[in-house]
Amino acid sequence: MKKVLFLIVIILALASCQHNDICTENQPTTPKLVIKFYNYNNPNQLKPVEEFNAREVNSENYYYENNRNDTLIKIPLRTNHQSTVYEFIINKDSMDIQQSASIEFIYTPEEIYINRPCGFRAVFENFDVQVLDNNPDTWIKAIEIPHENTINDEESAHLYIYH
Amino acid sequence: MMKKAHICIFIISLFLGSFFNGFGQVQSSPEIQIDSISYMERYGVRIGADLSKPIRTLLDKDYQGFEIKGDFRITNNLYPAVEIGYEDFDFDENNFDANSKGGYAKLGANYNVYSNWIGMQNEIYVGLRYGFATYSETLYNYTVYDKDHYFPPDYKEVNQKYNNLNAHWVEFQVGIKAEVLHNLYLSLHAQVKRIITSNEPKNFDILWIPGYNRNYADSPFGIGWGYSVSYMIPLLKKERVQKID
Repeated sequence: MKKVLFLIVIILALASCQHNDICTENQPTTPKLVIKFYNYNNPNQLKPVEEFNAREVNSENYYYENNRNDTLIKIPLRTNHQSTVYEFIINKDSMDIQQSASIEFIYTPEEIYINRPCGFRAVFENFDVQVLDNNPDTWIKAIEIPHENTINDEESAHLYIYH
Repeated sequence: MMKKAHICIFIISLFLGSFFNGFGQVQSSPEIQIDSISYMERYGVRIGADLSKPIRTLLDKDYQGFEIKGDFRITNNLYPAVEIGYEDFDFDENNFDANSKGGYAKLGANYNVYSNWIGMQNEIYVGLRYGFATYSETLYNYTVYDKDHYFPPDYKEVNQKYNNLNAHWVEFQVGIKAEVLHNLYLSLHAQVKRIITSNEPKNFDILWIPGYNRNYADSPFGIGWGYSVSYMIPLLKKERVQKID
């Protein structure tokens, strides 16, 4: 009788400890937009952006706490809109050569179920880009969507910017 | 089993012994010696209900459920058994809230492995069931999972319903049953089960199945328990003989 009660208690204990309610780091998440910067005059050559920062238009908050000097950046897109408009600034802390450009990312967000602890993530279909400035002096000279227009992961760049 | 074998041998030898004695000792005066007793064991249909589910219904605002059950003794230790129930459960996960509700049935049998003292009808049993459920899930709301926090969390109220879900499983039970009053039984049992087939909602998950409970993503096994009361309607009696020391 005691052995059976013991077995029942063991099974019930298993039931309560078998919770795996943590969304682990290696699960796919909502991907960020990956942008690579190339030299406009030599399109095969990567060219870093200097003192780069980004913010959503009309937002006070910059995405990066510290400006970036890099050939590759990753920024988030709004999952509750069909587009996100960013202001991209280079040479941010150098007042006389600072330049800014507004760029709109257009897409169809779609939610995909991951698992119980993580829930749903978004991916972006029908991805398209528009540089909004009419200013001919804008630092963004050309853009290119190199692969298919779906943003699923952050494995490769979704957008090349030539400057 | 040993005990049963002993009883059997005892009964046979008793019978044969008295037979041969009858031939060998015709003249001796019969001397009655009580070395065994017999008892009329009750066989019948036992009908009951799970107590844990209505209690949980009262205590847990996210849960409603009931289960009725029956078994029928066909041999000394074998009891074909059935359970039928309905459950409705709201669950809050980290990034979404959902519901699962529906009916289920379990068909199978229990086998008693406990040798009772004469006159008692308690059980320690192992049971096997085929279980199936037809149910629906509802996704109430979710927050899109995003490791980045530049934008505020994207919370969506959707109330998306996933109908016509079903699941089939095998279930192993182990439990104890005690006759607490004449023909009235209390029992406690634990369940370990494994899904055989199920259909999956599109772009969602099998999270919780009525009768099966939580479905674990990393394990094909489910777990449950029950605490029930049942009443036996005696239909026939069979004699059981046991020696006394």
